[in-house]
Amino acid sequence: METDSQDIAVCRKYGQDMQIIVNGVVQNDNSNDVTIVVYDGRLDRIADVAAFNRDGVMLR
Amino acid sequence: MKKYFRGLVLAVLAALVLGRLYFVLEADFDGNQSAEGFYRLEKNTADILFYGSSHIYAGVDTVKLWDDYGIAGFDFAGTMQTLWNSYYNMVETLKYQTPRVMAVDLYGALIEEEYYTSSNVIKNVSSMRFSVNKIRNVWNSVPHEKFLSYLLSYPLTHDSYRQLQKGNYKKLTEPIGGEWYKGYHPSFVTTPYDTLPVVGRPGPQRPPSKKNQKYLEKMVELSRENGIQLVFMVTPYRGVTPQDEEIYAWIEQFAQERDVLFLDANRCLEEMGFDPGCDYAEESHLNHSGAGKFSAYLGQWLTERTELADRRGTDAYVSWQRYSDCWAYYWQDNDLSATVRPEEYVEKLKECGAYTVFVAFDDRFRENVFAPVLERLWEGQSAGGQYDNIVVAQKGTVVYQSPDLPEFCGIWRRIPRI
Repeated sequence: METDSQDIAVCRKYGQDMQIIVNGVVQNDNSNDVTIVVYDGRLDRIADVAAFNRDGVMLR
Repeated sequence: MKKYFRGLVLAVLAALVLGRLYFVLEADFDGNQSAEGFYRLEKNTADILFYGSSHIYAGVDTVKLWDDYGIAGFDFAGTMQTLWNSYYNMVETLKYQTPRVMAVDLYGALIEEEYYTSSNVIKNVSSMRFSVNKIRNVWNSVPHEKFLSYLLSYPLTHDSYRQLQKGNYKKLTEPIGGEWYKGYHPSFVTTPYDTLPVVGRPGPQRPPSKKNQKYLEKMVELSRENGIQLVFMVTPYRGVTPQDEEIYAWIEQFAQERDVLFLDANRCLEEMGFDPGCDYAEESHLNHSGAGKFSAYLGQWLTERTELADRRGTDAYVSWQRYSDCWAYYWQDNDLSATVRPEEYVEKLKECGAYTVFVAFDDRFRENVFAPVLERLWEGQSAGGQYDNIVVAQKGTVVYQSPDLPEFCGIWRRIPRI
């Protein structure tokens, strides 16, 4: 918990969807909706993952 | 001489490998986490320790005790911890701490078997550091023919190699509070009941088993020798029976005869404002709401009867404040994940400097009805709308965004912690 930074990868592999990877764990599994991943550095954990569909629905 | 030196080196290497192997294979049970947290405490800081079963770690909210009373407490508990395990934890405590109060939950007094079940023994002995005290703990916890297996732990945990995961290689800091963990491990489940349990029924006293009586006496002796106030208590639970109460009544008289403080909190539920529809996880445990009510009452009760000091603002006790802060952050995260209005959600993300926000969207982002709201996360800055874009923002500032059409994983960034 006392490290100065955390590892974050933003990547895409050979035609696959863009991925958000935090400390080795993929956080979003599709790119059709808007996906928000919130990382809380104080607790070193994912605080929330939410998706926003084009038709105006907020999902979790 | 060469042979001797080679033998010594091999012995040291073997010890290092086996020690690491034990760490990797060690079962991550609740009692183990409690022991790990206990050994991380700064020496001679804990003013009160609570011993007992899951009733303790689910029911005694050490954050509440700190926030409301400045009580530096620790839940040294494990699932179905017997009275003898509690006693040996008390002995272990005195090697590292100088508490003013030791409080023992009496649910373990209901265990009448000479030795309790294997899994619960593991949870309550395996993480104790090797010592004469551990040897005595194990010797009195299992049939003697199994003593060596339980003392060494390997034969019990060797099968866990099948469940090896990345987490096995990390220190046991998963509970909320991490390195500042003070033993509180609540349940957030609610089982609604129509009524509170019926307690305080007149009936005969019934002594606990001879073994339990022996360890109650040993606890009294230990506390007297060390000038520590001993408390025997019953943490509330919905499934209390008349047979349970008979044993608690016997122990209450036992305590009175020996100047030991006694609290059966099952008899104080209305005074504590308990709601049967909200405060129980199930028949055996309080949930977080019930733990908060009980702990508020317990803190007041202890303050009135013991010499516990208010340690808030004292440098030596900063780890309790850090633990409290971790829980505050946890509730803030919970509040965020319960937010359903996008506008409100975005504002909370922008306000909290500790949040790193990752937004992934494709080239149809502009068609999303939430786009104008989400763009407030990086207001006034150039971002979004690119093909397969990801934006990373902190406090309303874009700290990273992916370039167009990346072909493969190759973008690693270390984002500074705020």
